[in-house]
Amino acid sequence: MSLKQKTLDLKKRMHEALQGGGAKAIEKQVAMGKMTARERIIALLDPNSFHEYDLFVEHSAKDFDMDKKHLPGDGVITGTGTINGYPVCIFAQDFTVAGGSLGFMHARKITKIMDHAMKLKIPLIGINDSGGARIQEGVNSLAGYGDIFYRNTLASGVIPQISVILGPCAGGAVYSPALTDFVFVVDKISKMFITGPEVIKTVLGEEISMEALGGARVQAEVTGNAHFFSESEDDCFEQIKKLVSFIPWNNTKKAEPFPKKTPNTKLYKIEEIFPTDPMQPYDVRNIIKAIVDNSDFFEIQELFARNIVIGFARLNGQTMGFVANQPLVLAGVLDVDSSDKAARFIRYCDAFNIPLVTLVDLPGYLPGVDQEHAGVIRHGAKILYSYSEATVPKMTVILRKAYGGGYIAMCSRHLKADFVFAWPTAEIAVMGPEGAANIIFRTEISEAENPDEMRKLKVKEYKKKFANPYVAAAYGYIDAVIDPNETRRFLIHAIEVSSHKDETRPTKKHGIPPF
Amino acid sequence: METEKEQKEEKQEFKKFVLDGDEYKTLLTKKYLSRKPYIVNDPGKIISFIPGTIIKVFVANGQTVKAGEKLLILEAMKMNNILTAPVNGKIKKLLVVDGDKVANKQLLVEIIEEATRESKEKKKVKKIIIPIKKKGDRSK
Repeated sequence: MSLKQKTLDLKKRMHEALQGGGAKAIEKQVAMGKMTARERIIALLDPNSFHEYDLFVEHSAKDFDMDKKHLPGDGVITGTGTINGYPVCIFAQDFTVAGGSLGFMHARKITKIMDHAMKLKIPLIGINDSGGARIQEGVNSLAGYGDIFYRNTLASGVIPQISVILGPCAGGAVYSPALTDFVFVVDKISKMFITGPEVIKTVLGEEISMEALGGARVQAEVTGNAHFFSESEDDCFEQIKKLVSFIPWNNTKKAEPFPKKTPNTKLYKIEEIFPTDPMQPYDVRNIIKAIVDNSDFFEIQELFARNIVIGFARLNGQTMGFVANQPLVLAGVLDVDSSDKAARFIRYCDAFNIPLVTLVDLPGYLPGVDQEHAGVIRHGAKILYSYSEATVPKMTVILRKAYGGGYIAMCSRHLKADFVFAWPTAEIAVMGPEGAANIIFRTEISEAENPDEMRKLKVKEYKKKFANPYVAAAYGYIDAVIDPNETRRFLIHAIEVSSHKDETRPTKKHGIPPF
Repeated sequence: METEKEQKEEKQEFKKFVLDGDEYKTLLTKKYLSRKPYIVNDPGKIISFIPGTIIKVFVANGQTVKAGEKLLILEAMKMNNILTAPVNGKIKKLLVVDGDKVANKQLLVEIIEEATRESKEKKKVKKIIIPIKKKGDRSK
């Protein structure tokens, strides 16, 4: 055979393999409102950047007549490519081939591209669309999952790992996304659960739809398993592209700097957004937008635990991780869910050299039997742990209330924030004025002729004396009380002088955070 | 898009939210509003601890039972769990039969605790002991 013939033969083989599960299976996939695995990769990566490997991998199962079956690529597509010029490793499960089920060789293709990503020190993106374990392959498919989980764990904090759920992801399969940094879901397409509606029906006789049990909205709103929710696959890919632009390739690098841009202060005016009365709500995201480059704030877990806001934005072109109490929802209290949400994000930023900016405005931790019994002690401790542990530059701005344990937890000076600024509206106190006055002046109030009037008087007295930033500033717990409109200038300067920050921690294998 | 969102938020009604006596105006989440009130555990109420199937009921309505006596078998996750009476008493309500599928935390059996001599004595003893302890604590 001449080289030309050999090449023609290769083309023929490739053409066959690229058909995936064939026309009928592809038709079904399209009917479900889903793109095919290869279409997804092409839509996500830069044009012509995708290079596929292991196209000719065959499954190795022999039992149950599997040896007579041919599964192109064994149901998963792997390769490398670029997103906005950033290199990434990628795999996408192909639902048209045996329902994207995971067998021995399927898993080996995934672990191989994961090992690649770790060696090349570049992000890994996994697109999940699979019916689950390939039952015919028995314990080998379980081994495959285990091999993937192990690699997910070792790669955690070394390279960014992104999971995209574009179909069912059930049973053990859910734990690979759960171990990765960011999970993307799409409305009506993504489904995640440990036991599906079928099992629940046989065991309990309870009927629930896949959507209500573990659909995209549930994962984004109720469980917090998903970090990004979108209406369509195309929107989802746009979100991924944006996320990749904010994060570094690996834990030894900083995020790529962007051209500097000023915020849109015409649309976001602090004096218009911000009520000075600490009892009044406002959307803290608008304050972030008033401070950051191009007023562009990329929010994470927008729908989950909305009483805290987390996300990325840039200051002078440099990526920052923002954590902010949200007075708009539940007065911005810390509770079980919001502590979990913030703590994990803080650890992400610390692992990937992203400086932290914390905006504080909270009345404290949420009281209640349900919170106590749900373990608010253990969960709330995660925030303290992750802020104390973080060695990236830490900047804190206290906007209004910073009461009690909430003040300490929100990256206070005591947890070694590098810079703590306060607006003149800040109130740093051991608790809210009403509660504090009731305790301190208990006898005065109860013995007064008119207790209500006395209480009002004492609350006023307390407010005047303690509801300000100057008591904390007098102890040096605050570095500067600043004009709110100077926040951006102070933060940018703080980052500039912190660019060579070097803080070491005692040598240890790892800490024991209150998981 | 953003202005649309903001307008939506403005339309939402803010609720009062009291914390340490201070009253805040804010939005309340679905999760917060649907939190369940705390209920004191009643030892006479036998509640399923796992969803499953009742495969055998040993007792009948009105029957007297002794603490530790078998009440029923709850099959779940391929295990036969034997549920026993936690107290001496009489079966007041038997809410399941063989073959019933039950959800988690579902009430299965209700027992009226029988005030036996022992428990009466215990209660008497408790009544005497507790105030003494409290007095002791205060004097410290």
